[in-house]
Amino acid sequence: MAKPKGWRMREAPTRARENPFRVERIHALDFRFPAGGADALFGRFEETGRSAVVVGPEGSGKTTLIERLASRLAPRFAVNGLQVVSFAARPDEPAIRRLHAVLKALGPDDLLLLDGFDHLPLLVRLVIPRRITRLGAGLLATSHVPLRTLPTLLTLAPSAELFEELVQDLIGGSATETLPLAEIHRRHEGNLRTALRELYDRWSSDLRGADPGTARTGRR
Amino acid sequence: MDWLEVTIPEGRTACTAGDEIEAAAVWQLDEMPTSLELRLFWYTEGKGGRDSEIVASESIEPTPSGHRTCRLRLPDIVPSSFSGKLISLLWAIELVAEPGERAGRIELVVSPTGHELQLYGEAQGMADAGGADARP
Repeated sequence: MAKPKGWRMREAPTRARENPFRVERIHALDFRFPAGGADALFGRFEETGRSAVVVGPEGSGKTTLIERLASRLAPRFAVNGLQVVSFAARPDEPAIRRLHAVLKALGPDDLLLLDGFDHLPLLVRLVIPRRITRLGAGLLATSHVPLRTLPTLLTLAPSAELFEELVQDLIGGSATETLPLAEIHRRHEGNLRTALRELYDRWSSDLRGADPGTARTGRR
Repeated sequence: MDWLEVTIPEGRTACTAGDEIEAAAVWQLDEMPTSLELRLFWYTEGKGGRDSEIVASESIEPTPSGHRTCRLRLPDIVPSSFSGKLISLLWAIELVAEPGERAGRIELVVSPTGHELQLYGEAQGMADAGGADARP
């Protein structure tokens, strides 16, 4: 069929399942452990007396780190010896009760990976490290801010270079050349989650390398 | 090395609700699995978190290698395969061996038209070279 005069067919927008920034591909990215890898990090954790916290702002990879550590460490622990508990927001009473049940079941040498420690009520935050120590178990927590009750094992602060590296993994090296990655990283203040979502939106809207302001309004 | 594969003997990967699908599973595993299962399911991909649901499954007697043909029935009411900007819904049959994450799969299209439904607005599929105001 002939195209109407004055019209041109544009490529269909990127389908969600073909978007290189879809969440399934982001979850499949390798976590960039600090020098020495996961084993060195866990070695340093053992040196802290097996109670420490990973600190980092929103979208810096704390939850991803906990997930990757959990899968790598699982073979070292007996059944139910490694417990993972996550809080994305302040937990309600039933969630606190479930956390206490997990604590109660921990034995010596077991390990609790607790994501979102700073979302817990103050009293619970004070009680948990003491209880873990008394049990002879380990606690690796994450928090947006350093904690008085736990030494900091690692501080995550994703750089523009890391962001670029992750994007290269998702779309290939040369494809990143037209993207203002440093600008996107700066605008999102290092929040990788929201920065990658912006790239998802750019791909689905066919903006890609364009300045979003320019593309939307047609002028600066 | 582990190898698991699912094929549709007649190559008919487009289906509609209520269809019965014949799927052939072939596997060769280094270690004896504790369970083998063929699953018909849908899942989502896109900007947000993944959702999925197994709508039919059939257990297979676990052996290190073998082949088996199964019939899985699509329920009468199921979501169709579709794609938009934010989310795609996809269908697949997967052969899963446990323990571990060993699996082989084949993707299907489940839709009354035989094609994935496209959820794009009209204006997104066709653009005016001179801008929206210059349409003929």
